[in-house]
Amino acid sequence: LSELRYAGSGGCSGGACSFCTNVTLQSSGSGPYDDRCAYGYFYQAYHVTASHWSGAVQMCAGMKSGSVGNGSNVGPVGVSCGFGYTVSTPSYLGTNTTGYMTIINQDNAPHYNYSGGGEYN
Amino acid sequence: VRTFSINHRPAVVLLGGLVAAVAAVVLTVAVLNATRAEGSSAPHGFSLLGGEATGLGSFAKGTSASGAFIKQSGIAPEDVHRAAVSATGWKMWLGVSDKAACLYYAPPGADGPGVVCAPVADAAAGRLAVTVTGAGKNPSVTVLGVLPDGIQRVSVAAKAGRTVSDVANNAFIVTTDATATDYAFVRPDGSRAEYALRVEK
Repeated sequence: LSELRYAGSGGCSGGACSFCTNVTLQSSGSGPYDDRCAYGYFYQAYHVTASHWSGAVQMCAGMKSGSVGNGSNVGPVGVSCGFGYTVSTPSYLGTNTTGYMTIINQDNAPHYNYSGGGEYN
Repeated sequence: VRTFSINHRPAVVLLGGLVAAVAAVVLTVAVLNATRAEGSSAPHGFSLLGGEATGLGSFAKGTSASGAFIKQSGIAPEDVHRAAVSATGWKMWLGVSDKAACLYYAPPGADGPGVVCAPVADAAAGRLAVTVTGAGKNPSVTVLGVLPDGIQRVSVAAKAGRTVSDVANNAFIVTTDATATDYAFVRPDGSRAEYALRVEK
């Protein structure tokens, strides 16, 4: 595990990570589509979660190949998107998913207090 | 002059009773029909939630089992109800608390579910769905969701057209591509609902 790029606060302990804690993600940002926040690099990531419990919004969580949350999706964890308080990918224990844990704001407005989480080996 | 006095009271009482009984039957049938049409007899409109909770069992891993998630959502792994969608190889569960409604989903090969949680009112209105996108240049996209009672079919729009799927056990799964834009269905009252989908590829 090496930390290449992240915003807000972040850290990993015992295989569990909190990253991009309480960040604000704008409606558009440095990524090719929507504002996103990434953390990594991981060689065996199990799952990723994006949360915004202060209100339901359109968002994504997943593993991306680019260090700023861009690039292609990395399988088998991939990327899951939905409207709500939280979105999490399925969990794949013991498989190689290399890349950056990423959360994405897909709403057309900025939102505060996003947080990311995940687990890795 | 003789006058005759006839006592009509028993007949009036009998007639009144009959009218009341007929009215009660008509009212009961109307209420039952309305309840059935709106699916409101089931918890939050989902018959899936009516039986015993199945729990996630051995799938209680990842986000679904984390203490922070359980605290925020108000839903423990043993509180969820599994939807019968095994023919696709995917597994789906629904859990509802006073804080959120959560759809859990596990693709073939996963050992723990992904989760999407929305406000209960949104879920009851049919807005609880997720897009799951894999790796690769043209990844397939799976759209999963839950819909309340009384909704028979759902369609997912993509560049190639709309893909129609049956809703079974309050759940649906549609395989499409990264051009997916929305899903739509007809409510029991005949009105149409459409919710946007976003895909990250």
